[in-house]
Amino acid sequence: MDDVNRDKSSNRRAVMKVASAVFENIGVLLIVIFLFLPIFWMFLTAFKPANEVYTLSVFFEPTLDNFRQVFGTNYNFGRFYANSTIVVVVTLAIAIPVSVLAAYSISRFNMPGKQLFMFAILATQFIPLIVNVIPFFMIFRNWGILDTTLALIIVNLGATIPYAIWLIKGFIDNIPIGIEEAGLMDGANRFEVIWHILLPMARPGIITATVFCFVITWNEYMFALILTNQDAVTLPVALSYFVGQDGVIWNEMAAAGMIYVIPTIVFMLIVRKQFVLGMSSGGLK
Amino acid sequence: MEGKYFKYLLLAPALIIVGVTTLLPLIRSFWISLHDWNLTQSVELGEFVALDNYVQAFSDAVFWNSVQVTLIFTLSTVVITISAGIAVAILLSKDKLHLSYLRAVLIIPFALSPALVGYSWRFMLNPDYGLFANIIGFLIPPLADVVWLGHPTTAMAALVSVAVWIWLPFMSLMFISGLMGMPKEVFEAAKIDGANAVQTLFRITIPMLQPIILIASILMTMFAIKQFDPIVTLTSGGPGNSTEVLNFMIYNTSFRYFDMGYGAALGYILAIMTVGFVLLYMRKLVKGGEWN
Repeated sequence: MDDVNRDKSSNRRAVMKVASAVFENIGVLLIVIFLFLPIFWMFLTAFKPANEVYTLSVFFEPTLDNFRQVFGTNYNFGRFYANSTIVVVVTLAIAIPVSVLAAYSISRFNMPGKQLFMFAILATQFIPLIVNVIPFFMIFRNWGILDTTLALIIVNLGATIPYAIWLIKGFIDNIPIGIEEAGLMDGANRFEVIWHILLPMARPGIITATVFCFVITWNEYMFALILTNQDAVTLPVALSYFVGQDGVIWNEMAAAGMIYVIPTIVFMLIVRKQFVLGMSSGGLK
Repeated sequence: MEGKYFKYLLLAPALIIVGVTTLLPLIRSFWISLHDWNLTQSVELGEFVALDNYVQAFSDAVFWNSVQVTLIFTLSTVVITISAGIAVAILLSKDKLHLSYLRAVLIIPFALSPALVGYSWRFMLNPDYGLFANIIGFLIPPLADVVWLGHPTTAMAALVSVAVWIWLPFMSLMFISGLMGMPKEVFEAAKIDGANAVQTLFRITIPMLQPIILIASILMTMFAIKQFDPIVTLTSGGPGNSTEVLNFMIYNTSFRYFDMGYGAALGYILAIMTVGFVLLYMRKLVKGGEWN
Protein backbone atom coordinates (compact mmCIF):
# COMPACT_ATOMS: atom_id res chain seq x y z
CA MET A 1 0.00 0.00 0.00
CA ASP A 2 2.67 2.43 1.04
CA ASP A 3 4.76 1.45 -1.92
CA VAL A 4 1.95 2.20 -4.31
CA ASN A 5 1.45 5.63 -2.80
CA ARG A 6 5.12 6.41 -3.01
CA ASP A 7 5.12 5.30 -6.63
CA LYS A 8 2.20 7.55 -7.37
CA SER A 9 3.74 10.58 -5.75
CA SER A 10 7.09 10.03 -7.39
CA ASN A 11 5.27 9.63 -10.68
CA ARG A 12 3.46 12.87 -10.09
CA ARG A 13 6.73 14.57 -9.23
CA ALA A 14 8.24 13.35 -12.48
CA VAL A 15 5.25 14.62 -14.45
CA MET A 16 5.47 17.97 -12.66
CA LYS A 17 9.13 18.17 -13.47
CA VAL A 18 8.55 17.56 -17.16
CA ALA A 19 5.65 20.00 -17.17
CA SER A 20 7.66 22.74 -15.54
CA ALA A 21 10.53 22.13 -17.94
CA VAL A 22 8.11 22.46 -20.85
CA PHE A 23 6.65 25.65 -19.41
CA GLU A 24 10.11 27.04 -18.87
CA ASN A 25 11.12 26.40 -22.44
CA ILE A 26 7.91 27.90 -23.76
CA GLY A 27 8.59 30.94 -21.58
CA VAL A 28 12.10 31.31 -22.93
CA LEU A 29 10.80 30.93 -26.47
CA LEU A 30 8.19 33.65 -25.91
CA ILE A 31 10.87 35.99 -24.58
CA VAL A 32 13.00 35.37 -27.63
CA ILE A 33 10.08 35.93 -30.01
CA PHE A 34 8.91 39.09 -28.26
CA LEU A 35 12.35 40.67 -28.02
CA PHE A 36 14.09 39.53 -31.17
CA LEU A 37 11.44 38.97 -33.81
CA PRO A 38 11.03 42.73 -34.50
CA ILE A 39 14.79 43.09 -34.92
CA PHE A 40 15.03 40.04 -37.14
CA TRP A 41 12.09 41.25 -39.21
CA MET A 42 13.61 44.72 -39.74
CA PHE A 43 16.86 43.00 -40.69
CA LEU A 44 15.05 40.89 -43.32
CA THR A 45 13.13 43.90 -44.58
CA ALA A 46 16.36 45.80 -45.14
CA PHE A 47 17.31 43.22 -47.79
CA LYS A 48 13.90 42.87 -49.40
CA PRO A 49 13.22 44.10 -52.90
CA ALA A 50 10.54 46.80 -52.99
CA ASN A 51 7.80 44.49 -54.28
CA GLU A 52 8.19 42.04 -51.36
CA VAL A 53 8.07 44.54 -48.52
CA TYR A 54 4.33 44.56 -48.05
CA THR A 55 4.09 40.77 -47.88
CA LEU A 56 5.03 38.38 -45.09
CA SER A 57 7.38 36.37 -47.29
CA VAL A 58 10.52 35.08 -45.68
CA PHE A 59 12.02 33.69 -48.87
CA PHE A 60 13.04 36.28 -51.40
CA GLU A 61 16.05 37.24 -53.40
CA PRO A 62 18.09 39.46 -51.06
CA THR A 63 19.21 42.73 -52.54
CA LEU A 64 21.47 45.59 -51.50
CA ASP A 65 19.38 48.12 -53.43
CA ASN A 66 17.90 49.60 -50.28
CA PHE A 67 21.33 50.41 -48.90
CA ARG A 68 22.38 51.94 -52.22
CA GLN A 69 19.24 54.03 -52.18
CA VAL A 70 19.83 55.22 -48.62
CA PHE A 71 23.32 56.42 -49.37
CA GLY A 72 22.43 57.62 -52.86
CA THR A 73 21.80 61.23 -53.85
CA ASN A 74 18.12 60.99 -52.89
CA TYR A 75 18.68 60.78 -49.16
CA ASN A 76 22.40 61.27 -48.84
CA PHE A 77 22.46 59.50 -45.50
CA GLY A 78 26.23 59.82 -45.17
CA ARG A 79 25.66 63.45 -44.17
CA PHE A 80 23.50 62.50 -41.18
CA TYR A 81 25.95 59.82 -40.20
CA ALA A 82 28.66 62.49 -40.15
CA ASN A 83 26.52 64.82 -38.02
CA SER A 84 25.75 62.11 -35.50
CA THR A 85 29.41 61.11 -35.34
CA ILE A 86 30.59 64.68 -34.74
CA VAL A 87 28.06 65.22 -31.96
CA VAL A 88 28.94 61.95 -30.24
CA VAL A 89 32.71 62.24 -30.48
CA VAL A 90 32.91 65.81 -29.20
CA THR A 91 30.36 65.20 -26.45
CA LEU A 92 32.28 62.18 -25.18
CA ALA A 93 35.66 63.90 -25.49
CA ILE A 94 34.44 66.55 -23.05
CA ALA A 95 32.02 64.60 -20.86
CA ILE A 96 34.22 61.64 -19.96
CA PRO A 97 37.41 63.38 -18.70
CA VAL A 98 35.34 65.91 -16.79
CA SER A 99 33.27 63.13 -15.21
CA VAL A 100 36.33 61.07 -14.27
CA LEU A 101 37.81 64.00 -12.34
CA ALA A 102 34.52 64.74 -10.61
CA ALA A 103 33.88 61.08 -9.77
CA TYR A 104 37.40 60.77 -8.37
CA SER A 105 36.95 63.84 -6.22
CA ILE A 106 33.61 62.64 -4.84
CA SER A 107 34.86 59.13 -4.24
CA ARG A 108 38.14 60.01 -2.53
CA PHE A 109 37.60 63.17 -0.52
CA ASN A 110 35.33 64.10 2.31
CA MET A 111 33.01 66.92 1.54
CA PRO A 112 30.11 68.37 3.42
CA GLY A 113 26.83 67.24 1.87
CA LYS A 114 28.40 64.63 -0.36
CA GLN A 115 25.36 62.33 -0.33
CA LEU A 116 23.13 65.26 -1.07
CA PHE A 117 25.37 66.22 -3.94
CA MET A 118 25.26 62.76 -5.48
CA PHE A 119 21.51 62.87 -5.16
CA ALA A 120 21.34 66.33 -6.71
CA ILE A 121 23.39 65.12 -9.67
CA LEU A 122 21.00 62.26 -10.17
CA ALA A 123 18.03 64.56 -9.63
CA THR A 124 19.02 66.66 -12.64
CA GLN A 125 18.03 63.59 -14.63
CA PHE A 126 14.63 63.36 -12.95
CA ILE A 127 13.68 66.63 -14.55
CA PRO A 128 12.06 66.02 -17.94
CA LEU A 129 14.53 67.42 -20.45
CA ILE A 130 11.75 69.09 -22.42
CA VAL A 131 11.70 71.74 -19.67
CA ASN A 132 15.26 72.65 -20.55
CA VAL A 133 14.76 72.69 -24.29
CA ILE A 134 12.44 75.71 -24.23
CA PRO A 135 15.05 78.18 -22.93
CA PHE A 136 17.77 76.48 -24.97
CA PHE A 137 15.77 77.00 -28.11
CA MET A 138 15.59 80.75 -27.43
CA ILE A 139 19.22 81.07 -26.32
CA PHE A 140 20.51 79.22 -29.38
CA ARG A 141 18.24 81.27 -31.60
CA ASN A 142 19.74 84.45 -30.18
CA TRP A 143 23.26 83.12 -30.61
CA GLY A 144 22.44 82.02 -34.13
CA ILE A 145 23.50 78.42 -33.52
CA LEU A 146 20.17 76.70 -34.05
CA ASP A 147 20.60 73.83 -36.49
CA THR A 148 24.31 73.36 -35.74
CA THR A 149 26.08 70.39 -34.21
CA LEU A 150 27.46 72.77 -31.56
CA ALA A 151 23.96 73.29 -30.14
CA LEU A 152 23.43 69.54 -29.91
CA ILE A 153 26.80 69.02 -28.23
CA ILE A 154 25.98 71.59 -25.53
CA VAL A 155 22.66 70.01 -24.61
CA ASN A 156 24.01 66.48 -24.77
CA LEU A 157 26.75 67.32 -22.27
CA GLY A 158 24.12 68.07 -19.65
CA ALA A 159 22.35 64.81 -20.44
CA THR A 160 25.43 62.58 -20.19
CA ILE A 161 27.73 63.93 -17.46
CA PRO A 162 25.43 63.07 -14.52
CA TYR A 163 25.18 59.43 -15.64
CA ALA A 164 28.90 59.25 -16.31
CA ILE A 165 29.74 60.57 -12.83
CA TRP A 166 27.31 58.15 -11.25
CA LEU A 167 28.70 55.14 -13.11
CA ILE A 168 32.39 55.99 -12.80
CA LYS A 169 32.15 56.81 -9.10
CA GLY A 170 30.73 53.36 -8.45
CA PHE A 171 33.78 51.78 -10.05
CA ILE A 172 36.33 54.07 -8.37
CA ASP A 173 34.78 53.30 -4.97
CA ASN A 174 35.78 49.69 -5.49
CA ILE A 175 39.45 50.46 -6.11
CA PRO A 176 41.45 50.19 -2.88
CA ILE A 177 42.82 53.57 -1.83
CA GLY A 178 46.06 52.03 -0.48
CA ILE A 179 47.64 51.79 -3.91
CA GLU A 180 47.22 55.51 -4.46
CA GLU A 181 48.64 56.34 -1.04
CA ALA A 182 51.70 54.28 -1.87
CA GLY A 183 52.10 56.30 -5.04
CA LEU A 184 51.77 59.56 -3.14
CA MET A 185 54.41 58.42 -0.63
CA ASP A 186 56.74 57.78 -3.51
CA GLY A 187 56.49 61.46 -4.35
CA ALA A 188 54.04 61.42 -7.22
CA ASN A 189 51.49 64.23 -7.29
CA ARG A 190 47.75 63.71 -7.50
CA PHE A 191 47.49 64.06 -11.25
CA GLU A 192 50.27 61.54 -11.75
CA VAL A 193 48.49 59.18 -9.39
CA ILE A 194 45.23 59.63 -11.27
CA TRP A 195 46.89 59.19 -14.63
CA HIS A 196 49.26 56.31 -13.92
CA ILE A 197 47.50 54.37 -11.17
CA LEU A 198 43.82 55.17 -11.07
CA LEU A 199 43.01 55.38 -14.77
CA PRO A 200 44.31 51.95 -15.69
CA MET A 201 42.46 50.39 -12.76
CA ALA A 202 39.24 52.26 -13.42
CA ARG A 203 39.33 51.44 -17.10
CA PRO A 204 36.37 49.03 -17.14
CA GLY A 205 34.24 51.65 -15.44
CA ILE A 206 35.35 54.40 -17.76
CA ILE A 207 34.72 52.27 -20.83
CA THR A 208 31.29 51.35 -19.52
CA ALA A 209 30.39 54.98 -18.89
CA THR A 210 31.71 55.93 -22.32
CA VAL A 211 29.57 53.33 -24.03
CA PHE A 212 26.49 54.31 -22.06
CA CYS A 213 26.98 57.98 -22.91
CA PHE A 214 27.64 56.98 -26.49
CA VAL A 215 24.30 55.19 -26.64
CA ILE A 216 22.44 58.11 -25.03
CA THR A 217 23.93 60.65 -27.41
CA TRP A 218 23.77 58.50 -30.54
CA ASN A 219 20.09 57.74 -29.90
CA GLU A 220 19.19 61.22 -28.66
CA TYR A 221 16.04 62.30 -30.50
CA MET A 222 14.17 65.12 -28.76
CA PHE A 223 16.93 67.73 -28.81
CA ALA A 224 17.72 66.95 -32.41
CA LEU A 225 14.07 67.09 -33.41
CA ILE A 226 13.61 70.54 -31.88
CA LEU A 227 16.99 72.18 -32.38
CA THR A 228 17.81 71.09 -35.93
CA ASN A 229 15.90 71.18 -39.18
CA GLN A 230 18.32 70.79 -42.06
CA ASP A 231 22.08 71.16 -41.70
CA ALA A 232 22.70 69.44 -38.38
CA VAL A 233 20.01 66.77 -38.58
CA THR A 234 21.19 63.54 -36.93
CA LEU A 235 20.31 59.94 -37.74
CA PRO A 236 17.19 59.37 -35.59
CA VAL A 237 15.52 62.48 -36.96
CA ALA A 238 16.57 61.63 -40.51
CA LEU A 239 14.58 58.39 -40.24
CA SER A 240 11.44 60.47 -40.67
CA TYR A 241 12.50 61.19 -44.27
CA PHE A 242 11.30 57.72 -45.17
CA VAL A 243 7.81 58.62 -44.03
CA GLY A 244 6.23 59.95 -47.19
CA GLN A 245 2.83 61.20 -48.30
CA ASP A 246 1.60 57.72 -49.23
CA GLY A 247 3.07 55.83 -46.31
CA VAL A 248 6.44 54.67 -45.11
CA ILE A 249 9.09 53.21 -47.41
CA TRP A 250 9.82 50.41 -44.98
CA ASN A 251 12.57 48.63 -46.86
CA GLU A 252 14.67 51.77 -47.08
CA MET A 253 13.96 52.78 -43.49
CA ALA A 254 14.98 49.28 -42.38
CA ALA A 255 18.24 49.54 -44.31
CA ALA A 256 18.99 52.96 -42.84
CA GLY A 257 18.00 51.66 -39.41
CA MET A 258 20.38 48.71 -39.65
CA ILE A 259 23.32 50.95 -40.44
CA TYR A 260 22.26 53.32 -37.71
CA VAL A 261 22.09 50.75 -34.89
CA ILE A 262 25.18 48.68 -35.61
CA PRO A 263 27.62 50.81 -33.56
CA THR A 264 25.43 50.83 -30.45
CA ILE A 265 24.85 47.08 -30.59
CA VAL A 266 28.54 46.31 -30.97
CA PHE A 267 29.67 48.64 -28.18
CA MET A 268 26.90 47.63 -25.83
CA LEU A 269 27.68 43.94 -26.23
CA ILE A 270 31.29 44.64 -25.28
CA VAL A 271 30.45 46.24 -21.94
CA ARG A 272 27.11 44.69 -21.03
CA LYS A 273 28.30 43.00 -17.83
CA GLN A 274 29.98 45.98 -16.18
CA PHE A 275 27.19 48.22 -17.38
CA VAL A 276 24.42 46.45 -15.53
CA LEU A 277 26.54 46.14 -12.40
CA GLY A 278 27.40 49.81 -12.55
CA MET A 279 23.85 50.96 -13.03
CA SER A 280 22.49 48.92 -10.16
CA SER A 281 25.22 49.60 -7.63
CA GLY A 282 26.79 52.93 -8.55
CA GLY A 283 24.40 55.17 -6.71
CA LEU A 284 24.24 53.18 -3.56
CA LYS A 285 27.88 53.02 -2.63
CA MET B 1 48.88 71.99 -5.31
CA GLU B 2 47.54 69.54 -2.77
CA GLY B 3 45.63 72.36 -1.13
CA LYS B 4 42.33 72.40 0.60
CA TYR B 5 40.50 73.35 -2.55
CA PHE B 6 42.00 70.69 -4.76
CA LYS B 7 38.98 68.42 -4.47
CA TYR B 8 36.70 71.24 -5.52
CA LEU B 9 39.00 72.05 -8.41
CA LEU B 10 38.49 68.51 -9.72
CA LEU B 11 34.76 68.90 -9.36
CA ALA B 12 34.56 72.34 -10.90
CA PRO B 13 34.45 71.53 -14.63
CA ALA B 14 31.64 69.01 -14.25
CA LEU B 15 29.79 71.29 -11.88
CA ILE B 16 30.03 74.26 -14.22
CA ILE B 17 28.88 72.31 -17.27
CA VAL B 18 25.98 70.63 -15.48
CA GLY B 19 25.04 73.97 -13.93
CA VAL B 20 25.06 75.83 -17.22
CA THR B 21 23.30 73.09 -19.20
CA THR B 22 20.78 71.98 -16.59
CA LEU B 23 20.34 74.39 -13.71
CA LEU B 24 20.35 77.67 -15.64
CA PRO B 25 17.80 76.56 -18.25
CA LEU B 26 15.67 75.22 -15.43
CA ILE B 27 15.59 78.60 -13.71
CA ARG B 28 15.11 80.37 -17.02
CA SER B 29 12.25 78.01 -17.84
CA PHE B 30 10.51 78.91 -14.60
CA TRP B 31 10.86 82.58 -15.46
CA ILE B 32 9.36 81.97 -18.90
CA SER B 33 6.49 80.03 -17.33
CA LEU B 34 5.45 83.21 -15.50
CA HIS B 35 4.96 85.08 -18.76
CA ASP B 36 2.42 85.15 -21.53
CA TRP B 37 4.60 84.48 -24.51
CA ASN B 38 3.66 83.19 -27.91
CA LEU B 39 6.62 82.98 -30.24
CA THR B 40 4.50 83.54 -33.33
CA GLN B 41 3.57 87.00 -32.01
CA SER B 42 6.83 88.19 -30.57
CA VAL B 43 10.40 87.00 -30.16
CA GLU B 44 10.66 88.98 -26.92
CA LEU B 45 9.42 87.66 -23.61
CA GLY B 46 5.79 88.79 -23.26
CA GLU B 47 3.79 90.21 -20.41
CA PHE B 48 4.36 89.02 -16.84
CA VAL B 49 1.28 87.08 -15.78
CA ALA B 50 2.48 85.47 -12.54
CA LEU B 51 0.88 82.05 -12.13
CA ASP B 52 -1.79 82.46 -14.82
CA ASN B 53 -0.25 79.76 -17.00
CA TYR B 54 -0.44 77.29 -14.15
CA VAL B 55 -4.01 78.27 -13.38
CA GLN B 56 -4.86 77.86 -17.05
CA ALA B 57 -3.56 74.30 -16.97
CA PHE B 58 -5.98 73.29 -14.26
CA SER B 59 -8.98 74.29 -16.31
CA ASP B 60 -7.58 72.83 -19.54
CA ALA B 61 -9.27 69.58 -20.55
CA VAL B 62 -6.35 68.68 -22.82
CA PHE B 63 -4.01 68.96 -19.86
CA TRP B 64 -6.12 66.68 -17.67
CA ASN B 65 -6.34 64.21 -20.49
CA SER B 66 -2.55 64.22 -20.73
CA VAL B 67 -2.16 63.78 -16.98
CA GLN B 68 -4.42 60.75 -17.16
CA VAL B 69 -2.60 59.34 -20.20
CA THR B 70 0.75 59.88 -18.50
CA LEU B 71 -0.36 58.12 -15.33
CA ILE B 72 -1.84 55.16 -17.20
CA PHE B 73 1.21 54.85 -19.41
CA THR B 74 3.71 55.19 -16.57
CA LEU B 75 1.99 52.87 -14.11
CA SER B 76 1.32 50.16 -16.70
CA THR B 77 4.87 50.35 -17.99
CA VAL B 78 6.44 50.20 -14.53
CA VAL B 79 4.24 47.38 -13.23
CA ILE B 80 4.50 45.25 -16.37
CA THR B 81 8.21 45.81 -16.92
CA ILE B 82 9.19 45.11 -13.32
CA SER B 83 7.05 41.98 -12.94
CA ALA B 84 7.93 40.66 -16.39
CA GLY B 85 11.56 41.54 -15.67
CA ILE B 86 11.55 39.37 -12.55
CA ALA B 87 9.87 36.53 -14.46
CA VAL B 88 12.37 36.76 -17.30
CA ALA B 89 15.24 36.90 -14.83
CA ILE B 90 14.06 33.76 -13.05
CA LEU B 91 13.71 31.93 -16.38
CA LEU B 92 17.07 33.05 -17.71
CA SER B 93 19.28 32.90 -14.63
CA LYS B 94 19.73 29.12 -14.72
CA ASP B 95 23.14 27.68 -15.41
CA LYS B 96 22.56 26.44 -18.93
CA LEU B 97 24.65 27.10 -21.98
CA HIS B 98 21.88 28.27 -24.31
CA LEU B 99 20.60 30.61 -21.61
CA SER B 100 24.03 32.12 -21.14
CA TYR B 101 24.06 32.96 -24.88
CA LEU B 102 20.64 34.52 -24.54
CA ARG B 103 21.76 36.56 -21.54
CA ALA B 104 24.69 37.80 -23.58
CA VAL B 105 22.52 39.26 -26.34
CA LEU B 106 19.66 40.35 -24.10
CA ILE B 107 20.93 43.93 -23.92
CA ILE B 108 20.51 44.48 -27.68
CA PRO B 109 16.94 45.87 -27.68
CA PHE B 110 17.98 48.37 -25.02
CA ALA B 111 20.81 49.67 -27.20
CA LEU B 112 18.56 50.38 -30.17
CA SER B 113 17.34 53.86 -30.97
CA PRO B 114 13.89 54.28 -29.37
CA ALA B 115 12.81 56.41 -32.32
CA LEU B 116 13.62 53.55 -34.68
CA VAL B 117 11.90 51.08 -32.36
CA GLY B 118 8.73 53.17 -32.54
CA TYR B 119 8.82 53.04 -36.34
CA SER B 120 9.53 49.30 -36.35
CA TRP B 121 6.51 48.58 -34.19
CA ARG B 122 4.38 50.71 -36.46
CA PHE B 123 5.53 48.37 -39.21
CA MET B 124 4.96 45.23 -37.13
CA LEU B 125 1.46 46.32 -36.11
CA ASN B 126 0.18 47.30 -39.54
CA PRO B 127 -3.11 45.41 -39.99
CA ASP B 128 -2.34 44.42 -43.60
CA TYR B 129 1.31 43.46 -43.74
CA GLY B 130 2.48 43.77 -40.11
CA LEU B 131 4.06 40.62 -38.74
CA PHE B 132 2.84 41.01 -35.14
CA ALA B 133 -0.67 42.00 -36.23
CA ASN B 134 -0.80 38.89 -38.40
CA ILE B 135 0.55 36.59 -35.73
CA ILE B 136 -1.97 37.89 -33.21
CA GLY B 137 -4.75 37.54 -35.79
CA PHE B 138 -3.67 33.98 -36.49
CA LEU B 139 -3.57 32.96 -32.82
CA ILE B 140 -6.67 34.87 -31.75
CA PRO B 141 -8.91 35.16 -34.83
CA PRO B 142 -11.36 37.72 -33.33
CA LEU B 143 -8.44 40.16 -33.14
CA ALA B 144 -7.48 39.65 -36.78
CA ASP B 145 -8.96 42.90 -38.09
CA VAL B 146 -7.96 45.19 -35.24
CA VAL B 147 -6.29 48.38 -36.41
CA TRP B 148 -3.94 48.50 -33.44
CA LEU B 149 -2.96 52.13 -33.71
CA GLY B 150 -6.47 53.22 -34.70
CA HIS B 151 -8.26 52.94 -31.34
CA PRO B 152 -7.42 54.72 -28.09
CA THR B 153 -7.18 51.56 -25.98
CA THR B 154 -5.21 49.42 -28.40
CA ALA B 155 -2.93 52.34 -29.28
CA MET B 156 -2.15 52.76 -25.60
CA ALA B 157 -1.55 49.02 -25.29
CA ALA B 158 0.82 49.20 -28.26
CA LEU B 159 2.67 52.11 -26.70
CA VAL B 160 3.06 50.32 -23.38
CA SER B 161 4.28 47.21 -25.26
CA VAL B 162 6.94 49.26 -26.96
CA ALA B 163 8.08 50.81 -23.69
CA VAL B 164 8.17 47.37 -22.09
CA TRP B 165 10.08 46.05 -25.10
CA ILE B 166 12.69 48.77 -24.71
CA TRP B 167 13.16 48.45 -20.94
CA LEU B 168 12.51 44.77 -20.24
CA PRO B 169 16.00 43.59 -21.24
CA PHE B 170 17.76 46.12 -19.06
CA MET B 171 15.54 45.49 -16.04
CA SER B 172 15.85 41.72 -16.51
CA LEU B 173 19.62 42.02 -16.55
CA MET B 174 19.54 43.96 -13.30
CA PHE B 175 17.43 41.23 -11.71
CA ILE B 176 19.57 38.49 -13.22
CA SER B 177 22.70 39.98 -11.70
CA GLY B 178 20.82 40.15 -8.41
CA LEU B 179 19.59 36.55 -8.61
CA MET B 180 22.94 35.15 -9.62
CA GLY B 181 24.59 36.90 -6.71
CA MET B 182 22.28 35.24 -4.20
CA PRO B 183 23.67 32.45 -2.04
CA LYS B 184 22.51 29.10 -3.44
CA GLU B 185 22.27 27.57 0.05
CA VAL B 186 19.11 29.53 0.82
CA PHE B 187 17.28 27.97 -2.09
CA GLU B 188 18.57 24.51 -1.27
CA ALA B 189 17.44 24.91 2.33
CA ALA B 190 13.99 25.98 1.14
CA LYS B 191 13.81 22.91 -1.06
CA ILE B 192 14.77 20.59 1.76
CA ASP B 193 12.13 22.21 3.97
CA GLY B 194 9.58 21.30 1.30
CA ALA B 195 8.81 24.77 -0.01
CA ASN B 196 7.15 24.70 -3.42
CA ALA B 197 8.06 27.00 -6.32
CA VAL B 198 5.42 29.62 -5.50
CA GLN B 199 6.42 29.77 -1.84
CA THR B 200 10.06 30.07 -2.77
CA LEU B 201 9.24 32.90 -5.15
CA PHE B 202 7.22 35.01 -2.73
CA ARG B 203 8.96 34.14 0.53
CA ILE B 204 12.57 34.10 -0.60
CA THR B 205 13.34 35.32 -4.10
CA ILE B 206 11.27 38.51 -4.13
CA PRO B 207 12.15 39.64 -0.59
CA MET B 208 15.82 39.13 -1.37
CA LEU B 209 15.48 41.05 -4.61
CA GLN B 210 13.72 43.92 -2.90
CA PRO B 211 16.57 46.47 -2.92
CA ILE B 212 17.02 45.91 -6.66
CA ILE B 213 13.27 46.04 -7.25
CA LEU B 214 13.19 49.43 -5.58
CA ILE B 215 16.05 50.85 -7.63
CA ALA B 216 14.60 49.35 -10.79
CA SER B 217 11.20 50.89 -10.04
CA ILE B 218 12.75 54.32 -9.51
CA LEU B 219 14.68 54.13 -12.77
CA MET B 220 11.69 52.72 -14.64
CA THR B 221 9.30 55.41 -13.39
CA MET B 222 11.77 58.11 -14.29
CA PHE B 223 12.32 56.76 -17.77
CA ALA B 224 8.63 56.09 -18.41
CA ILE B 225 7.62 59.64 -17.48
CA LYS B 226 10.35 60.98 -19.75
CA GLN B 227 9.55 58.64 -22.64
CA PHE B 228 9.24 60.69 -25.79
CA ASP B 229 10.86 59.25 -28.91
CA PRO B 230 8.79 56.11 -29.51
CA ILE B 231 5.61 58.05 -28.76
CA VAL B 232 6.39 60.47 -31.55
CA THR B 233 7.32 57.77 -34.02
CA LEU B 234 4.65 55.22 -33.10
CA THR B 235 1.42 57.11 -32.40
CA SER B 236 2.28 60.84 -32.40
CA GLY B 237 -0.17 61.11 -29.53
CA GLY B 238 -3.03 59.71 -31.57
CA PRO B 239 -5.62 58.66 -32.38
CA GLY B 240 -7.05 62.02 -31.31
CA ASN B 241 -4.98 62.77 -28.25
CA SER B 242 -5.52 59.42 -26.58
CA THR B 243 -1.80 58.70 -26.22
CA GLU B 244 -0.64 62.26 -25.76
CA VAL B 245 1.48 61.99 -22.62
CA LEU B 246 2.39 65.24 -20.86
CA ASN B 247 5.88 65.22 -22.27
CA PHE B 248 4.48 65.15 -25.78
CA MET B 249 1.79 67.74 -25.00
CA ILE B 250 4.53 70.12 -23.82
CA TYR B 251 6.38 69.52 -27.07
CA ASN B 252 3.25 70.29 -29.07
CA THR B 253 2.40 73.37 -27.02
CA SER B 254 5.90 74.81 -27.27
CA PHE B 255 7.10 73.79 -30.69
CA ARG B 256 3.98 73.31 -32.74
CA TYR B 257 1.83 76.13 -31.36
CA PHE B 258 4.85 78.07 -30.03
CA ASP B 259 3.09 78.93 -26.79
CA MET B 260 6.33 79.11 -24.81
CA GLY B 261 4.90 80.44 -21.55
CA TYR B 262 2.25 77.77 -21.26
CA GLY B 263 4.64 75.06 -22.43
CA ALA B 264 7.17 75.99 -19.76
CA ALA B 265 4.47 75.97 -17.08
CA LEU B 266 3.34 72.50 -18.18
CA GLY B 267 7.00 71.44 -18.09
CA TYR B 268 7.24 72.55 -14.50
CA ILE B 269 4.10 70.70 -13.56
CA LEU B 270 5.54 67.54 -15.10
CA ALA B 271 8.83 68.09 -13.29
CA ILE B 272 6.99 68.46 -9.98
CA MET B 273 5.04 65.26 -10.69
CA THR B 274 8.29 63.43 -11.41
CA VAL B 275 9.98 64.68 -8.27
CA GLY B 276 6.88 63.70 -6.28
CA PHE B 277 7.14 60.15 -7.58
CA VAL B 278 10.84 60.00 -6.81
CA LEU B 279 10.40 61.34 -3.28
CA LEU B 280 7.81 58.66 -2.67
CA TYR B 281 10.33 55.97 -3.58
CA MET B 282 13.16 57.73 -1.78
CA ARG B 283 11.26 57.65 1.48
CA LYS B 284 10.94 53.94 1.08
CA LEU B 285 14.59 53.64 0.21
CA VAL B 286 15.73 55.64 3.23
CA LYS B 287 13.36 53.74 5.51
CA GLY B 288 14.72 50.47 4.19
CA GLY B 289 18.19 51.66 5.14
CA GLU B 290 19.49 51.01 1.63
CA TRP B 291 20.74 54.54 1.08
CA ASN B 292 24.42 55.00 2.10
